[in-house]
Amino acid sequence: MEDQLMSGVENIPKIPKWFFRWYCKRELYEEMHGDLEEFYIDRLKVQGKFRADLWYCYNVLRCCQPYAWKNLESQSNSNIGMVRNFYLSAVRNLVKNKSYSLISILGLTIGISSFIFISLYIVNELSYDRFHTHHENIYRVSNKAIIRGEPNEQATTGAPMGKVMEESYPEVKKATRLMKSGPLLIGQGDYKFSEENILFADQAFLDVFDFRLLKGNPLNALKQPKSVVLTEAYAQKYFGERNPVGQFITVEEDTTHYLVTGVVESAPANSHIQYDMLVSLSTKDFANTDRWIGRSLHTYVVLEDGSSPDMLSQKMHEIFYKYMAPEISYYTGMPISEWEASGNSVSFKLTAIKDIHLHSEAQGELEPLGNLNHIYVFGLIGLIVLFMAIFNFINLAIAHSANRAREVGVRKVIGSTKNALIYQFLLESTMVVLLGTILAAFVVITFTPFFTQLVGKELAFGIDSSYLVWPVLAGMTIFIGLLSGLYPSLVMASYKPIQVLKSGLFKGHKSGWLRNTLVALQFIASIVIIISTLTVYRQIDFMLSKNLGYSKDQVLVIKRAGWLADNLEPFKNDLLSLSNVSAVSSSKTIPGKRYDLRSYRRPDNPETYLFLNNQVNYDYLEMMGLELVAGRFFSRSYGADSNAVVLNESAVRAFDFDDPIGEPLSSSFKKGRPLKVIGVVKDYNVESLHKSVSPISIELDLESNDFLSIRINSDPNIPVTLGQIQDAWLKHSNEKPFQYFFLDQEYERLYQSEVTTGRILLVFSTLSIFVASIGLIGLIAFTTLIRRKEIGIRKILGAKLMLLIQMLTKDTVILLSIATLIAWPIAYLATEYWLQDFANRVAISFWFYIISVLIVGAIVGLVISFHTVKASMRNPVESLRQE
Amino acid sequence: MGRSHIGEFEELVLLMVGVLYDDAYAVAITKEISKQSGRKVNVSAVHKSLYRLEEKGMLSSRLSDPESKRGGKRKRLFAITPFGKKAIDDMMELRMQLRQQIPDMAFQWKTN
Repeated sequence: MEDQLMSGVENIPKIPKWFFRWYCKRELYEEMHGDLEEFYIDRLKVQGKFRADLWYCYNVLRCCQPYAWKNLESQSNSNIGMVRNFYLSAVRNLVKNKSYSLISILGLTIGISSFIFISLYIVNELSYDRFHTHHENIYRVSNKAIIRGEPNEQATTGAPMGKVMEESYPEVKKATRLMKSGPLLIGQGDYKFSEENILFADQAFLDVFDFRLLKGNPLNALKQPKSVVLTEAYAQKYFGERNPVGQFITVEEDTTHYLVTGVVESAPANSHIQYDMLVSLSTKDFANTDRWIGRSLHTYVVLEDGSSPDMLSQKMHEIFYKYMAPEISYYTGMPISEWEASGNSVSFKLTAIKDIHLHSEAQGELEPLGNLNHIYVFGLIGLIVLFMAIFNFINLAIAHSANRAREVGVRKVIGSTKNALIYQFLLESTMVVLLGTILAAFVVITFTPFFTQLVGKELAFGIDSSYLVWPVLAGMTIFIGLLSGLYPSLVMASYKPIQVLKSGLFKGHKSGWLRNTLVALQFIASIVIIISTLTVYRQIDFMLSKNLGYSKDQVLVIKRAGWLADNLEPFKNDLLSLSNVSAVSSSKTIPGKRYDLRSYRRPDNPETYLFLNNQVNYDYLEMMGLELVAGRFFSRSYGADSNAVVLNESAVRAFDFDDPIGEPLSSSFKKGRPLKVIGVVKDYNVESLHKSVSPISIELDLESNDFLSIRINSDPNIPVTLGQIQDAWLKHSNEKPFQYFFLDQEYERLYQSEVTTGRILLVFSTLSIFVASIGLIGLIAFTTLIRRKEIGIRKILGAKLMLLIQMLTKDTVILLSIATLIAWPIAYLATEYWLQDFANRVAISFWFYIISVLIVGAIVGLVISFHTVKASMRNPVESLRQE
Repeated sequence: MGRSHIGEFEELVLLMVGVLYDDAYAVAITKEISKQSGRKVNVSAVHKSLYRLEEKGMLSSRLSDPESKRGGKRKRLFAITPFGKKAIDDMMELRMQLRQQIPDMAFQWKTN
């Protein structure tokens, strides 16, 4: 019986017990803890260990009240008076060594604010789409196809998918569909704007997602055809302070009216669904058909709790065979088994909504995706900046420890314990870090707009968006304070009074290995960062300046040239009469924009090939500056060019033609109508250089004029030319909005993600190198100061200036050499890894490796030479004088 | 109010020390209050009241012999002092007096 009870007491959790013993008055401990033990044992028997533990913890916390606390005055190491004294001496020391304090605090401020900024960015990326109440159960259906062995995943599926899933599978609770619209001309009264960010959405959209309707009825706002829901900002834009609900806006034509049925919240920045307006999907006829092939939509489903998306996607093969297969057979003219046997297949994949932003591999996403690798890179550089600052702080603290030696000696003689000294120095370092954190918080608040500009997107979280930030910052402060203060405080607390108080110079602790390691780490990080930044910039520059096979400079592109309708030719003629316009042509798409896929096959061979397809007007070749390698381009002087096709070299290689000119092709998109190859153009890149050149087919279509491109002579007066083009446009388009861009700027947007990464890398690597440099300045200033007597004696004994400089710089030069040897392989692996992503990549340049070391060497040299020369030139009388 | 003022919960604890006589220590008092008044009481609140009452001179205390049930720890047993008894009596008297001064009218709730 007694044994049992004893073992019950031993079950008491250690940490709360230790905590209780720590705060509880010694004279009360026995009786109070005895009471707690009694309760614990009672509960252990009745309610089990877990609940007993929990209650025990609760009681320990409840008992932690002033009546039970130890008397602070009687304790040697937590005496309030002593903490006050620690605080005062810390402040005095900071004020006394101004340059040391400034360097430490400045470094920490930069390090911590960079770290906070990058954390905010990373949290934003990782938090995508988690704000929906049912985000665990929302999945997006994508279409995974293998066409002739080529895998291809599309984020969109056939229009009936949502409905069919809802009807066929009980675990599908709801389904909703979305379609991103091209720009539409929206009008209200006299205002007319072309709006880009319009989504067509099913009635269930507002039910499935947590986008709150501020006005209107969420159940039927998107039900009727021609209903539109505006965000607050857009309601304001079109209707000012008036209530927009029940009003009409015009879409495209002045006679087409849509009813405003509600006002919706804007989507948060960490949503992959972004919109300015929502239009009911029932407006679009194709969305209500039963056709699977052709236009497709983003489909989202809500599953029942606990149902497995993998199992469901397996089951969805039925959908393919039941609905899609007959359509495929119809279009290809072969039974589905034969189609599958020739290396084709279609399956469906369910992607959890929270994984879309970072893990989706599908084409045709609503918004640009994030890149997990970039997140790692940013996280790494954030840590590097932070640790540069921490290393500075440690190094300077150790270097300055000799200064505090007398203080330590006196404190010890008076009766301070070693522990008390350790507490003192830890408190001091935490105070400095706290100062840095507070300043960093201000820096973050002040510079947030710059940072958003730098990363090129709004962030969902700021430093002030949650109260959780404060405990996190406090925890970080304490962590960094302890981390950076631990070693210096151990060193200082271990000084022996008899040594440090003896008259004469105390040389300080010889902790050379730690200082050298930290400095070497800073060198390594600096060299790696410089090489990486240079490589990233080199690659970006390469992509932007590479000869793409067409000439993208000096091309002005007008969007939605379809508005011209019959006035296209007169407009073109007007443009060509301008002195600065050299060529004009219209096309369905342009390089850098989305290309549709078309399948082609040779009449004698069932194998089909998918090519990127563009439909263009005459003169497209001259306008784009494409190079013709064989045959001819479309021309007005031939009548039958509507059945002609021009291929690029890659497409010719795919077909393995000996002489492609005149070869017949058939394309299922033209209902098997025979086509004839009339020309071949040199390969050119229409997609990002992440990919190699794809096969392209060009067909003639005088009706496809989504884009009208104008080649302008390189003339200094672009604004005048632009004005003339605009006048002509307004005249011929019946005053439609004039929307244009320059092709080269549009092209740069393909590399937005890389350009942003490069910019972020540049800013933060500059900061980290700056932090490392000021640390080095502080460190070298101090070491030369310590050695000034040595230098004085050496000078008296006849040492030359050069010899002294050599003596003072030797260590640093050795460190830099070792760091270089370690940094180069790391940088090589890092840049190789990053460059893997690109089909067209630059070679790794040997020069970057040299340059990086030269840069670091130059900074080090500058810092050292300033201090060493100053120290060496000083008159020995000054340094050797006895005070 | 002088030093003899005590709060409602303290009064309850003081009374309970008397009720339990010879076995009045925190755990027993906590359980007894829960049992008799039906309110949930944390041992910490009882501790706090006991120490304050002792400080005010209304309770005296001694340590018991070590008990195996408590892992060999002693417990603090409390007893009411004469001053404590006076405080209880004063309070009771005051309450009774005030109770008697309430006119019967005050308890007649006929609504018109």
